[in-house]
Amino acid sequence: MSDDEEARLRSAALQNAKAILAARHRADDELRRTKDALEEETRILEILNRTGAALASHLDHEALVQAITDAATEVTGAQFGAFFYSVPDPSGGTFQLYTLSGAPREAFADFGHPRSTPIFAPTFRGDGVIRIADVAKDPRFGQWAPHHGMPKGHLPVCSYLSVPVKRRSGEVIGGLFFGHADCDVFTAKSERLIVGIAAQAAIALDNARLYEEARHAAEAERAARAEVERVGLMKDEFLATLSHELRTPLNAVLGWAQMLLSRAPADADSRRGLETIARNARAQAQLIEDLLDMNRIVSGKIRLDVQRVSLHGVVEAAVETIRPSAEAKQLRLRITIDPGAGPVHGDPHRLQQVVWNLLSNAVKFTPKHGRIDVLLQRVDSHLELTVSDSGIGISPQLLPHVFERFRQADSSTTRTYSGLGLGLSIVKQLVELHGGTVRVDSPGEGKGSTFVVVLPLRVLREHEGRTHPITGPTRTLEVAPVSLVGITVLVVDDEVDAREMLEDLLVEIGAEVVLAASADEALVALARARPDLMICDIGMPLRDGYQLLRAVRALPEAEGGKVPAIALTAFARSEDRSRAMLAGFQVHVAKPIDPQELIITIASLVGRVRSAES
Amino acid sequence: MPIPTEPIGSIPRPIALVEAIERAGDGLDPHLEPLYLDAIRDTLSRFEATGSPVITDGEQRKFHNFWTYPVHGSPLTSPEGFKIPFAAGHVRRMPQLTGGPFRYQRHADAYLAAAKAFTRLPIKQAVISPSALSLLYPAEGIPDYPREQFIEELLSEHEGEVRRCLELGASSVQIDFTEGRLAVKLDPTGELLTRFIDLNNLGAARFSDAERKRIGVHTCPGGDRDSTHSADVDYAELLPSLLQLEVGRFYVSLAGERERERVLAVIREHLRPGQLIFVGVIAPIDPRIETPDIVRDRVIEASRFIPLDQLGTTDDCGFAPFSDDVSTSRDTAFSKIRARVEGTALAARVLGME
Repeated sequence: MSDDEEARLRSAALQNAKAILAARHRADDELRRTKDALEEETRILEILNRTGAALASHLDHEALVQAITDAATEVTGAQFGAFFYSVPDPSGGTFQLYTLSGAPREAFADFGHPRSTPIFAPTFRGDGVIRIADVAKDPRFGQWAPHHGMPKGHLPVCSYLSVPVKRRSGEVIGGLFFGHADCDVFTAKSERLIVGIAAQAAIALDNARLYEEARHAAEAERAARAEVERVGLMKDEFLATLSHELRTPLNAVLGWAQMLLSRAPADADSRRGLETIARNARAQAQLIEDLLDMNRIVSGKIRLDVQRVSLHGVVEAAVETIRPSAEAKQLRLRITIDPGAGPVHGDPHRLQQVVWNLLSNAVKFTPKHGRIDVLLQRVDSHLELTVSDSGIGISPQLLPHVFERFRQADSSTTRTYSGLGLGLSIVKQLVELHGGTVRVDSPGEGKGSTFVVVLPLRVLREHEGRTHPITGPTRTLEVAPVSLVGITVLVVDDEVDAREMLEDLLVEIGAEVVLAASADEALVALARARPDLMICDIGMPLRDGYQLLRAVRALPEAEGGKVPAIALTAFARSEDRSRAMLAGFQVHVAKPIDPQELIITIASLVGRVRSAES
Repeated sequence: MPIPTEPIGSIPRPIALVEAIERAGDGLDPHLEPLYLDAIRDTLSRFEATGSPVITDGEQRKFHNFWTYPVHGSPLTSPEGFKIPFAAGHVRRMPQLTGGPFRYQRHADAYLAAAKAFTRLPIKQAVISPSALSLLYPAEGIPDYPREQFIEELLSEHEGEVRRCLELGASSVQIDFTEGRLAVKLDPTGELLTRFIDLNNLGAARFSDAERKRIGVHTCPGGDRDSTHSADVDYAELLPSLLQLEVGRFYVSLAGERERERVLAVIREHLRPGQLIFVGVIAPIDPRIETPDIVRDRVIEASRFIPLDQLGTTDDCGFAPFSDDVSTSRDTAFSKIRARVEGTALAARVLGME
């Protein structure tokens, strides 16, 4: 290459090198700008993120407004920012508070709050953002006396930005205000950001307010509950003391009256007097007992001594107790007891109290020569005790309130009938504690009343349970014999005793029995034996009866998916019954089972009720 | 894992094609099309036969050479560009730009698209560097077409060409940067070389990290008619700057270097993580065909300086960067390539990589 040639090439190359350098600088500048912009975006995102987190984490109002002010001031790049907000005062009005960021409190201490000037007012009205590049040049600025602009000593402000903080409802909570000594500092971006923060702030403030209200409400509720408990405790103590104080003198009255009666025969007048004293003392003791009972019931402190009880015995015992007073009034007392009325599950003393209360009520409100009928019968799967009288009856207005406490037809001081009005209320509470109901009916005043107590039947296995001394042994329920010949029953129970007992029972009346000790075995047996019915325990290990039945019901009909099923379970609450029905059982039978009832249930389920004779 | 090995690109055109181009007076004559297709098909098939895992179309259609193919025949160029003198005594004259806007007349991705029809092996595509084409713009400037605008348009054209090659599935895209040593020769201060690197980096910056891993740069002292234009420039002055290029692959001529170990030491000193160095183990301008053993020894030599997971092999240069170069036969070229492939595999075995 000649020197000329080389020089020419070098010159061209170096000229180009300058252009390349310029291109590189442009690229570098662009890269830097992109990077700066990215960094700025990242910074803002971080601030917003932090703000969101900070606002969400503060439930304390004061800390929250400070966090809002700090975050907003940082985001806008303002030299200082303030948040003026309204707070409700106890008189129902509001007063204004403020927080500052970027400036000490003293910097504004002398100037008072922003007033309703053309610059500030729109923010407090909630009219949107105000952004001013040079506040001194703004026509809204400096119109008000006495300062006509910024007061002396005010921090220098050229750039101005403000945004209202509003609830979703539109109600203005306050305003965020920002200033900078340099002009034209706030950009459209700061404006967008600050609107976002104001919205976040409003939500956070609302949350803090709701939290505060909820806290107060919870505290008030806690205090009220504590007070109720305290009063309840005082009442219990008072009643215990009262009953003791009332019974102590009664004890002496009754004791002496009975002692005197048992000694030398007094004259007829004295004797009648002593008898009256004793009767009234006993009545008084009963009143005290009622009062304490009611208290125990309403405070949930009554405990039932639950056992197998024959209502037959209970009714007879109660009738015997009341018979003297009925005879004294020459009332006709007629007792009818269904021999098939089996035992119930309950507290014999409390049940006797129920019957006695109803009977004594009937005696009390039935005039001389009147009539009282007592009927105990089995109706479907429950027992019904009906006590009806030919007494004074109940007006339709009073009927709905008969079982309310302290309620009597006549509460005037001249009322004819004594008592506290607690007896029927106690009846209702005790019957309900036994899972039963009580209702009253009366054709009207002077036309007598009828009380019906309904108690669920609890049929027990004959060899099981305690027997109450008053009520004696339970009688066997007698039903027509049933045959299950030609019916295959699948019995699923993990307890071998239970399986065997059911097997014996079912085989005896001709059923074909297939046994399964688990859900898995049951599914196999179902496929193989194709039973007409399954009896299934609920509480079993691994898969319980509910799960088993759901699996069965998922099968096609041809594979036994629709086989009738009886749930046999010790869970006897109504929700257990619902759960069994939901799982697909047709019938829910509570343990312990009544063999006859189970057989009838099976027969009716498979639609094959037949008498053994036929 | 084998040691990667790739060709640089060009293979001498079949004599029939070279003569037909001469008779036509212009490589772009449409009547040459069947001959071009034959040449491409034959080149790819012979390339496959060498066992080379990555092949090229031998740049059969690049006219007139690896440098000016994008602007050949452009109405905005004149043949009055500078002359590149080669050590063998001949001179290649470059075209010169006479106006804007600057647009490539053709792009290398068209060659890649055509080659893909004839082979299933991975294809590498070589493109000319923006820095080489920047020399088209004359020293005295062009009225109404400022240098800055030219540089911008050059970068856009380059980016489009590389991007389309990547999108077509090129296993790698190699930017031919043979003017690197020439830049040091023209401007011993290194300023020109720095600007060349800047320009090529501006191009590379337009690609993602993943894309840049598939982009490489090739440098050599120029190879034409078995001679070079800048072998007298010290490699040590070029390599540190070269390794600053933001690409993943470096194809460095080495077989023809006088002090290979010194060059390797410079590479070791400036090597950055993630860079793949393909060292030249075949010297195309040397008429002797290397044996696989020679290649193996050159690879083992390089492995003492470059970590094995960053080492690959290549040829020092294309076998015919200029379309009319018939100083090396096609047979010789493919024999040398086969030696590279076999020798590299031998080295991998010796180094315990297979």
